[in-house]
Amino acid sequence: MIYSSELIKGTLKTIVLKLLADNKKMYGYEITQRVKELTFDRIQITEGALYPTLHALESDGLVTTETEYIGKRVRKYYSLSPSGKNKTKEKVSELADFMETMKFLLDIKPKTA
Amino acid sequence: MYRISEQQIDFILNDISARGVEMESLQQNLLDHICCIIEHDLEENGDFESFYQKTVKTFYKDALWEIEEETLQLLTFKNYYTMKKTMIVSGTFSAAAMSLGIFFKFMHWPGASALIILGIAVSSLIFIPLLFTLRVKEKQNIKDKLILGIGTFAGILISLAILFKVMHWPGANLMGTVFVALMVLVYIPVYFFSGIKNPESKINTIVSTIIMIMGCGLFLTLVNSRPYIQDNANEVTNQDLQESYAAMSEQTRQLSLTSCMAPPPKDDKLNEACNAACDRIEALKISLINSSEDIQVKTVNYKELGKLDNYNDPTIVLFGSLDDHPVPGADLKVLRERLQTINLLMKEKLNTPVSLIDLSDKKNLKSGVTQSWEIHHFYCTPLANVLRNLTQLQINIRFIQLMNKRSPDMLQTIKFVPPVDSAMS
Repeated sequence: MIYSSELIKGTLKTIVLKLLADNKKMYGYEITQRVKELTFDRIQITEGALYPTLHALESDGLVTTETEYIGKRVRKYYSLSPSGKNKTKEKVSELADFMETMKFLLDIKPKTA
Repeated sequence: MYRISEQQIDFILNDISARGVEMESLQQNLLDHICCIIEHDLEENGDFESFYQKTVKTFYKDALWEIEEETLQLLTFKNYYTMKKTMIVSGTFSAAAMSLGIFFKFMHWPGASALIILGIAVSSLIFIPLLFTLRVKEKQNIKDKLILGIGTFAGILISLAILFKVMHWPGANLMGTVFVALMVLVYIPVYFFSGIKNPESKINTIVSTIIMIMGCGLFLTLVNSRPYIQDNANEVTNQDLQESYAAMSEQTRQLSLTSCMAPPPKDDKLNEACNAACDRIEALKISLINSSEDIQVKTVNYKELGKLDNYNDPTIVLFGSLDDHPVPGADLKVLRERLQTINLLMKEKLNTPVSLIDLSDKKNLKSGVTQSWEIHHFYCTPLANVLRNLTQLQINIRFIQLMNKRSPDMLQTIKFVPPVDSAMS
């Protein structure tokens, strides 16, 4: 099954940050492919969501970019800045905490209802 | 694996920008991404053109520029929370400053005007524009955005109009009128007809429209009618007084011409003093009108005056500044001396200690503070009332002059019409 884009939207920043933390530097296509690979095609990041997020992270100063020329086209590599590294830890632990809460909330709800 | 040629790269890049993506870095990202997909997924002899079209379609729902729009949205969204915070802080601050300023104004404490100006300035220049910027993002269609824009403009206009009105700065009435016209002719109709179509907001729209029309009506009454009636009344009173002063002056002139007997020397002195005082006041009136109304007149004629909606200029002319501790200027000093001369002459003649023209200190009815005669009648008093007070003085002097010739003893029993108290205006 493929998760809905609504679910992915709220966690995309965290996913991108975590991938960059694990892989040093990546470009856009690589990120989408890596996520696909790691989740056995269950999470597919769309281009329409990925690039706006990357630009936002860049303007927040969480990631830095370097460009590489491949023939006539330019490839932009993204990597974490020092503040991005801290933010990644924060974001990942926040999401983990959130998942615990959701587990609790969604398990408990049918019993009390 | 497919190998992309340089021409194909140019083709893709042109297509991306033709589809409305303008940010260069985004163009490059998308170009590289599409190239990667094509290189990975297209067979060596596959059809580039149709594969490209198929691929690029998976990037968006309706159009490729959605990606750029989303990017810009995220980039501006960063400021959203700071803007919201600033809006709340500025709103709270301006509301507090305004309420405090109004309270100070009631209590006649210093700093009231500064607080009111600060409050209205912050609300109209920071709070309302921020509110507009944040709200306009939530609205989807252009019509809603337009309504919001007009509403914001009207809001700023009314706050500034009230500020100008309170401070007696010029242009308040014009701003108020533009506000009412904008509301009645543009905002309310557009708001009403767009809201009434939606069954959910129908009742709400009708109620808000009625309230807005009522508000505009009340505002118009407040801004335009009241000062008009007041000014008009002042103008009529002033004109009447001026005419009766002219009539009395003519009478005294005739009387001194026709009296066959030479007047006793003392009367001569009194006549001189009275004429000098009256001429002095007349000159003062003309200079007041000329400096306040920005016109050049040679005689006092109230029909030529503007709205006489002029509060600070007379004080500046007569006292030199709007200081909290005013000192009467040269004109007022000379005037007082002239009036004292008349009083002195009449005291001698009637053999009484009572001054006919009352120049004693008075108690301010509002604050209860004892003030000098000058401050009591002329300080921080609108031009219309200053002129009125001066004419009243002239009439009283002429009356003394006339009665002195006919039956001076009656002067002791007559009560003069006092000038208007500045606190009453």
